[in-house]
Formats: sequence, C-alpha cells, structure tokens
Amino acid sequence: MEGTDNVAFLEVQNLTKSFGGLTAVKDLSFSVDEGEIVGIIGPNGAGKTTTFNLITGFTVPDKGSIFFRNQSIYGKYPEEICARGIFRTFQSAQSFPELTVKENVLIASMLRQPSLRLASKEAEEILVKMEMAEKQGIKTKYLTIPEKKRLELTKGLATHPRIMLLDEVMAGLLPMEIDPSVQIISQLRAGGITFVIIEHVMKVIMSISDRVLVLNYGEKIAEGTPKEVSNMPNVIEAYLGEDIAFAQD
Amino acid sequence: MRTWIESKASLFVLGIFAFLFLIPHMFTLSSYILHILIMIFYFSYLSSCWNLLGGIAGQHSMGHSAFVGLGAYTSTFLLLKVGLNPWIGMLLGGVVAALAGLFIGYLSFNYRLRGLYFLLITIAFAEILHILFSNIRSLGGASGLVVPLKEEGLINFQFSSKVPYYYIILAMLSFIILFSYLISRRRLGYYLVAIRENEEAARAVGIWVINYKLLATTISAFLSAFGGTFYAQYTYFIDPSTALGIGLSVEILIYPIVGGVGTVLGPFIGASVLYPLAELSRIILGAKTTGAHLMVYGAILIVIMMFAPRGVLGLFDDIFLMRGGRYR
Repeated sequence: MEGTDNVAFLEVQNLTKSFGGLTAVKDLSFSVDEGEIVGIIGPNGAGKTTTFNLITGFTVPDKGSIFFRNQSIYGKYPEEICARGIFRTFQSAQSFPELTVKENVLIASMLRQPSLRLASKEAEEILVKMEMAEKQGIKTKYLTIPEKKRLELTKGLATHPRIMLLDEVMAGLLPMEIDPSVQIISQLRAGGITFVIIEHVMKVIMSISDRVLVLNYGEKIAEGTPKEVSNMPNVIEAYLGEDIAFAQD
Repeated sequence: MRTWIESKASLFVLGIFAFLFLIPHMFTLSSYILHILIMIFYFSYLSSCWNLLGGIAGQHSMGHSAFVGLGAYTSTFLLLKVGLNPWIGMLLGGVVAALAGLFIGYLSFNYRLRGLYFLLITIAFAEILHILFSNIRSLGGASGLVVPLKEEGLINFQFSSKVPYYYIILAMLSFIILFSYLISRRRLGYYLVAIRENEEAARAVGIWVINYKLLATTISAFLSAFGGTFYAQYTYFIDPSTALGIGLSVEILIYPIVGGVGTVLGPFIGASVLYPLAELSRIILGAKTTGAHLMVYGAILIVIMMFAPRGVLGLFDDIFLMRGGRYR
C-alpha cells in the first residue's frame, strides 16, 4: 500500500461527529503535508479540540476517514495512534502529578526504548534539549502552567512523534514566554516533525503557520496562508469583534 | 512512587526481615504471640497483594475477599474430594482467582468503570460469591468446610506447631514485598503508577491502559488466593463469612491506608501498627463490655487518619520535608 496512493502525510476526509443533537465536527476534510506547520483557528466551540480527539482516537468518529502515512487510523485506540507516531497535547496540560518531571518523561520514553536504562538516558537528553533539566526532580503537581505545557511537549518528544497536535500550548503564557516556545517549535520542525497547532494567540498562528484552517460551528469555513485567511470576509465575520487586522503585521 | 523513608531504608528493611526469620530460633514464644505475628504477616501479605492493584495501579478494589475465598475454597474442596495436595491446590486456587480477576477486570475496564464504580463492582462480586457459597451444599453451605487431618509435615502443609506456619507466611510476605519492590522499579510499575496518576495522559504516551489494568488485577488476584489457602491450612476451617465476607475485604483495605497506599512497605507497616492495637483493645475491653473494643479501634483509626492522612510512611515523609528536605 505505502507509496502507491498519492495521499498526504495526514489526510482527513469528511470527518463527522455529533454529540446528541449537536454536530461538533461536520464533514471536515483537510490534509497536512510532511514538514508543514498547519494552524487551526476558530471561535470557542468551533470543534477544534474535538477534531484532535477524533484524529487521536480519544473520541470515536461517526463517519469519515483518517489516513496517516497512507494507513487508516480511523477508529483506532489512542495507544496505537501514539505508537504510530502521532502525539497530541491536551488543552489543559496533563501530567502524572505525583511523579517527578524526569519520571514523567521517562514513562513516555519507554514507548520506544527497550530498557529502563536507555529510556532514562534518553529522558535526560530530552530534558536538557528542552531546557527542563533543572526541574527534573520536582513533582509535576508543583509546576507552573507554562512549565506543565513545556513538560507535555517534552513528553511528546520522548515518544518519537512524526507529527504533533498541539492544543493551545501557548495559552496563558506571558508575551515574553511565547517567543522561546515559538522558537522551539521551529527547531523541532527543522528536525523533521510536522505540526498541527490550535491556538488563540493570533500572533503565534500567523507567524509560524504555513497554512491556516478556520473552523466555525464544526465546519471548515476557510483555508489558506495566514495572510490570505485573515483577509477573508467570512473569517472576519466569524471573529466579529476580534481584532484580526492586528495579526496582519 | 517511593517515600523518603523507603528510598533510604532498604538495608534496614533487610535487617528487620532477617531478624524476623531468626525470632523463633532466639526466643521461645508463646503460642499466642506466635499467632499474633502470623496474623500480622498474613494480613500484610494480603494487603500487599491488594496494594499491587489498589495502591500502585490505583484501582481500589473492595472485594479482595473474593480472591482469598476462591483460593481457600479451591484448595480445601479439592483436598476433601480428591485428596489433592494443598500446595497444588494453592496453585490451582491462584488460577481460579486469576480467572475471576480477569473476568471482573474485563467487565469493569472494558466498560470504563473506574473509581467508585469499580469499587462497587468488586463489592458486588465478592458478595455474590459469599451468598452463592453459603448456599451450595457440596461446598459446606454456611457452615463451611473443615480441612481433613493428614500426616504432619511440609508436604501436607499441616503442622501441630505454629512455628512452621510462621516461616511459611513470613516467606510469602518477604516474597510479595520483594516483588512489589522489583515491580516499582520496572516498566510495569511505572506504567501502573502512570495509569493511577492520569489515564488520559497515559494513553497519550502509548500505554495500553486496559491491558495493564487487567494484568495488575490478575496478578493481584492470583497472589491473594495463596493467602486463602494458607489461612485454610492454618486454621483447618473456612466458612463463607470469614473467607469471602466484606469484613475481610475491609481489613485488607485498611492496612495499606494506615501504612501508606501505593508504597512497598505501607501494607506491612499498617498491619504491624494496627493489628496489635486492635488485639490490645480487644484483650483489655473485649471481656468487659461487648463492642467497646470496636469503638476504641474506630477511635484509633480516626486519630491515625487525622494525623497521617497519607499513612504512616507519608507522615515520615512530611516530617522529613518540614526539616528542609525536598522531593526526589
């Protein structure tokens, strides 16, 4: 199968999910090429996080199809999807609170490393790379929110992902903390990781995304480069009252 | 997760266990004292088995008596009916309990029942067995089964002296503590703790949560059943309420809570502190006023939980922290 089709790295087709009477994601199709950074924006309740949940198996879709590297991952369990190289972060950063930063990363490392010793070595290297080494002995329940978000990214790296789905990793960060995070993502992209990013901080989305999808009420209402998207009338309408023009500079 | 005292104390613990093994050699203990020690080790063993599932993996079972009872009934029934050696009966009891564990584990975890719901399922399961066994005549009904007397010796798992029982249960306890210690330092232990801490986050890093929870349930049930066979061979008698009743499940649960849930030594420390206190209050008050000792026991429990909500080991941890230490 592999390579015979001309499908994108991550291909989502006609994805649909309803919760009772509410259609959270409606007939959504998009694709992500390897090495890209794709941003997803939209007002609250637009279905962004649900889309992530559907791709990663935390929520079972109603219909549609999802292909990752030419193989269907539709309806698979989160554990398997992670093993195939997709890592997602959670909107409210999730960790193992009573365990230390090092142990959190170590557990993630065990997915690929055959022994505890190798996993431990790798965890230390990743902690250094992500500039979290000095925090490694602290239980993660004592971390600040930005630190927890950084830790989640670090854990994600330890699972050797091909693509990372980041759900608002910049939310709650101070302006001066945002730039380093943007830098890290750029570095990781240069290292071969593809990104899909949900973000409310427009400055971030507009500066690092190659392409942007705009969702509203579960549907894709626009797609294009950041500059194209921010000039579309329907996007501005969806964000009525929000200062999209600000993002253009 | 280790407490501070555990991370510093492996040598100390080895010393304690060596000493425990030597006690019957060094002193002549009265049969009563031996019995108390045997019961402490017995409950420490069962609580440590519970701790694998309830403490390390965080799936709080309140029906562990089911597994103990299945162990006791399997070996005793087979000994009575076909004269099967109790050691082999012990293994078979473990298998029966493991299958039962797999069954309720699958039911609960596959339907995403956790926390209180898992607790209720396990209580229900144990109570069903309790009622069932009380009404099956070939299993002795409510009056239970008496273990037939055989020739004394290790092969028949029967002794006139309490000393051999002391060694057997101490060996079982040493095994489970070593086992817990080894698990907590391996992939399995880390994964179980990760599941306890946050299931979603565990799934996101590729841990097969359901499989690992099932594994923990099965191992815990398998080992708990060994305790049941030991108890049957030690007391020569089992009945549904002592072997399967909810009282046993609660007792199994209480020692780790007092000692420190999810720690390697917590169940042992909990039983060592609480069982003698319960016994003492029974000796002093039991004869005078019926039920007074239970009130005192309850009061002791409340006081311990007030001052050490994370158990005795957690208390040591807190004291250490207050003196300026820090978490690993």
